[in-house]
Amino acid sequence: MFKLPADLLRDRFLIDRDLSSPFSQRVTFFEDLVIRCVKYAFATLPASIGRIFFSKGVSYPFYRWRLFRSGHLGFPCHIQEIHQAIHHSNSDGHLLIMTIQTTKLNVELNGVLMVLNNKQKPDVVIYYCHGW
Amino acid sequence: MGSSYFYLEFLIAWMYRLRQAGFQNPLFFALEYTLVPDATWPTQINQTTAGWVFLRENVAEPAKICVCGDSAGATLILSHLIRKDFNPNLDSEANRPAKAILISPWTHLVSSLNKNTESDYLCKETLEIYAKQYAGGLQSDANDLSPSGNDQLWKTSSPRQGFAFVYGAEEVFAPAIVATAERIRNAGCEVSLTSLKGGIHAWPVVKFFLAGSKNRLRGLDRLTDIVWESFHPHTERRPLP
Repeated sequence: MFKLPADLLRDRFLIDRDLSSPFSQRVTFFEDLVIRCVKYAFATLPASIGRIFFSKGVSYPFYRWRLFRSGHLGFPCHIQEIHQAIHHSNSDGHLLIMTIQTTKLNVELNGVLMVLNNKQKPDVVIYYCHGW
Repeated sequence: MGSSYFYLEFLIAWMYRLRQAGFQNPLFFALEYTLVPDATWPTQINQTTAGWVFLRENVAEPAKICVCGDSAGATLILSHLIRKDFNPNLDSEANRPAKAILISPWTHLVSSLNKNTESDYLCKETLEIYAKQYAGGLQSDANDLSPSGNDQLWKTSSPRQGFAFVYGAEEVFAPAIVATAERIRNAGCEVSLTSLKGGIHAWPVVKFFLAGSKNRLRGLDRLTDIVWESFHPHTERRPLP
């Protein structure tokens, strides 16, 4: 409770800039404060708490609010959730949803697809796997 | 911990940046894989491969697809590219993606190369706990599950335009990322390595969420340049506003 703000104030205002971390030297006070809080949380809080912050239930409404206050009533692009269950082929050999090769993976596929114009073929596709 | 929904703003902003650069209709697919400890290896790699197959069969040919990720997501991308047990791409360059863009990949799950720094928010000790969870408890060494392979495997798995690594100079994973990039380059693959001065883990993503409007797009613009150069190596992109 005391060490984090004390270290922040020391590094930002009380010591030579060159003596603070390379990161601190280059960012704003706000950025520095947030990262120090994240550093503390990463080291001490269980992941189950962090997951709440990043979850759909929190992130999605927050992003819709940010869009709304910037004047966007809807999404600025076509957006679609993908939920595909992949099963082994049944006794008739009928494949559900995906190809024979993919059914060997035995996983569900979930994701979010976004495109500016869903009636036109894309000229570039970014397949993104998030971190954290 | 993360989810695709947290990344929506970042990805849609990137989409618009690509449009402004000169692409006509960028499409993004953000994989929502199962988080540890709800599932363990190899579930997440299988989901990554399932996403690739979905795109290849329903959206676009491989030559138009860039596979990207940050942190653990970038690890999944690398693991997917070099998996030996199930990969329809190894035998044909035509089936390979255009480019792999890895933002602060977690290349060595458990390693002395990962070093805590004064700047970065990651903590090696916590990371090792997550690595072991990914490995499914104590059944196997988490480091065995780090993406690694011989020269032949990297060479035959390489996307057409190779690999682009973007990382923070001050991040915990910096030495491991440099080692991995050099390893892949020595295998004969095309590799670019961008070190962000003063940057921490996943800095292009973090900066987007934290910085003011003047600076928040800088990381995205670097990623946009990488994608543009992959598809239009001899053409300058439009200036970004």
